Amino acid sequence: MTVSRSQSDALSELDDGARLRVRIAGLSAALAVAVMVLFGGHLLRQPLFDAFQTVAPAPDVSRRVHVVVIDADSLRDVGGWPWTRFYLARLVEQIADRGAAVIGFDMLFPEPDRLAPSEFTSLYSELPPGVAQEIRDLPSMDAVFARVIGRNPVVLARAGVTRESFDLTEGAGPPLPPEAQFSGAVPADLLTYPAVVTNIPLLDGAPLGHGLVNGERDADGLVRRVPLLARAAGHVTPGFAVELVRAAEGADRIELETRAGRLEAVKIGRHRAPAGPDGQLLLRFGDWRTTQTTSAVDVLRQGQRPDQFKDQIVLIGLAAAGTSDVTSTPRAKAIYGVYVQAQAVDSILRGTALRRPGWAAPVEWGIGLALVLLSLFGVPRAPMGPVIVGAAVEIALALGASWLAFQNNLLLDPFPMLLPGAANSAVMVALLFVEGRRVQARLRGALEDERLTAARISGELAAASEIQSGMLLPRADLPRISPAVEIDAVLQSAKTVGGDLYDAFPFDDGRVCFLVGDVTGKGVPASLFMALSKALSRSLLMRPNTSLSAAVAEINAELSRDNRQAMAVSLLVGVLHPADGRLDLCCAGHENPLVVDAAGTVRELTLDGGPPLCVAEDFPYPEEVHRLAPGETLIAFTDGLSEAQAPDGSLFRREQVLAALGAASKAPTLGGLVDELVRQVRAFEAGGEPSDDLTVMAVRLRPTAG
Amino acid sequence: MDLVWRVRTAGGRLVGEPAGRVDETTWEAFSAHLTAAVREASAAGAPLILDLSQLDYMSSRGLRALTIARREAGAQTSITLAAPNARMREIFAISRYDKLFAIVDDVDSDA
Repeated sequence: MTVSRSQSDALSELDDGARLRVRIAGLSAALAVAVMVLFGGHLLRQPLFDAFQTVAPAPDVSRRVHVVVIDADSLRDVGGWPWTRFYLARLVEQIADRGAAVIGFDMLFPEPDRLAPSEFTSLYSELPPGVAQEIRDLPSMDAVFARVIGRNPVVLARAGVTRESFDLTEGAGPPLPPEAQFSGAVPADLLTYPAVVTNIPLLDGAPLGHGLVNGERDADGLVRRVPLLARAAGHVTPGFAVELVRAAEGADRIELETRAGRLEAVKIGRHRAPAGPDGQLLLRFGDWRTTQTTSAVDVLRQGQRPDQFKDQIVLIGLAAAGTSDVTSTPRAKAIYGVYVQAQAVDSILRGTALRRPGWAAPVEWGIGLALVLLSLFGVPRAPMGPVIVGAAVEIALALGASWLAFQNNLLLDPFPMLLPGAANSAVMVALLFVEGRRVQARLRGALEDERLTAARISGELAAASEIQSGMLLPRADLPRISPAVEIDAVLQSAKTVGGDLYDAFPFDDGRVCFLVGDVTGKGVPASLFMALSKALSRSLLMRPNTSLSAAVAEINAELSRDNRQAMAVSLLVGVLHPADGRLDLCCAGHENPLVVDAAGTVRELTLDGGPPLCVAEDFPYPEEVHRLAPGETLIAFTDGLSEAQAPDGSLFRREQVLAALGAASKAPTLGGLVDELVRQVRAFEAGGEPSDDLTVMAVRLRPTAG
Repeated sequence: MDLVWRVRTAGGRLVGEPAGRVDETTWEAFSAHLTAAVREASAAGAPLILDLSQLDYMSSRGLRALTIARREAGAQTSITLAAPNARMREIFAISRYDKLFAIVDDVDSDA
């Protein structure tokens, strides 16, 4: 038996209980994994989407967005940060003069200008009071900056914070309400900040609008979203990017699109940005380095193109080493915050934020359930190869769909689709393997039993063989039977043991009796019947003053008694008179013997005989008299010789038997003759398994001395 | 090879027609059919003819089945073996079953 069997075979051999166990275990695993995906799925989803961000960046930020950075060059040429508001005012004027649609400061001014005259006089207390007063009367740069802000389209920042924030200025009053108006229902799930950090009141009242510059980091420290709007210190406040777009578009209102109380999108003029329920925009990041950027120091210098910022949304931000506005995104380990805001503005302009459609979850879990069912019914039936191929196809399709969706700014999570089914498959495959092993162990056990049975049978056969050979006269004893008659015999048992027998013994008057028989049937019963036949034959034949035919009739009667198994035995009995070569023969259903002379000529002794013993209880077996001349050898044999088969099924034909005997008769001794005849039979069989015992007996008169 | 057994009545005689081989694997079926046929013939008081013309081979097991059939038949019912092939004829000769059963060349011969 081959031990390797395919999976499906293994399952088909499982009992119903085992099959149910495998399925229940698979389903339980699927359910457990589904729960894990439900609650911990973001741990898998987020890295996947981040990887998508890396390999599939958003298009470059459009040329309508322009970042002016206060960078290292600016700090070197203008001075260390914070700059006096004079320079910021000039910066605004320069940008506005060159056509900017709106200018947004991605920074807060929560403290007065450090070069405010009052600050200066408080540093120099030795100043004469008059001079100090004159200096105090000078206009502060904050006032200049506020005037410039008021004259130009400027948006200032606000930052939503918790009440405990260190950024909150003590004693600051409530912030001014934001300029932007909202229409539509304000969603309940909106991101909420209890407090805001604002600019100093002098500046805060001046601009066109205010926007929240928050970009909250996720638990892993990465910024993935910015608020489109949030509730800050009680006011629904636009995000910085939204406010910039609103100002640039000249729109008064920001429309909130909700469905069933959940925020879906924010509309500003002709632009529509998908929004999460909490009012945040999920960013798909591009390469921030390609964002149109100009150094602040270059703006402050004269000689720039007059239309450099024409109709552009300009974000002014800090981008110098040592400034605090550095953050991280899935695409960039370190990025200046202003570029995140620039990306947000671009997203709103294009309307291309990432979003998770409402149908995503039902579809994902629906596919997940379908794959679990497919696995549940497919895995036990299919062989391992197709299961693996199927799994690979499923993974490729789910990941491919997710990837394709991401290209279209949709977030499709492949894990609810794949993991429950995968868990089901893995557990089922493992258990099927285990159960399969159990089945194999059982089969092996059965095989062991079979072998034991076979061993027992072969033990039985060995016993039968022993009975048979134990009953027979040893070959070495045959020559010593008579001084006048030479006898030799060979009996070779077939593997399954037939019931061949031979015997020979002398009478007191010098006659020699010999017999060859064959019990029909095989195995122990045949060998026991053979033993009985042989014992009975000898005792009945040895009785004095009994004719051969009478003895055989009596043997027949005795053997037939209580022979319920309808066994039969063929028997050829002969009595040779050494004095004159007279040969009395009695045949009970046995093959006629052959006689070969010194020249190798073979003749058959045709006997009338009768049926085998035990066939006809009262058959009168005739005694037939022949004569064996000196130099002639009588050969008696069983069907092991006359029915020998070659491997191709052909039988040892009569003429082949005669030829073989003719050749064997050339052997110098009687034993040699018998051996040669047996050898020729075996040669004809060519190594094939003999189907029956083979017995050959040779009898001849010893040459008389002189 | 399988053993096929058919039985028919013809001219007041029951004719059993085995076809195929009688060997280690088929002799029990052969014996069962044969014994049943003997009983049927006994009950009808008709002689049984065993038409061997379609039988290729009969091993010593077949002879044993014939022995059992003969015992079943007893003295009242005669069993005739008809049209054995040369090989079976030789087997019958060697085993001297030709002394126990009438063997005829043709089914329609008189037993």
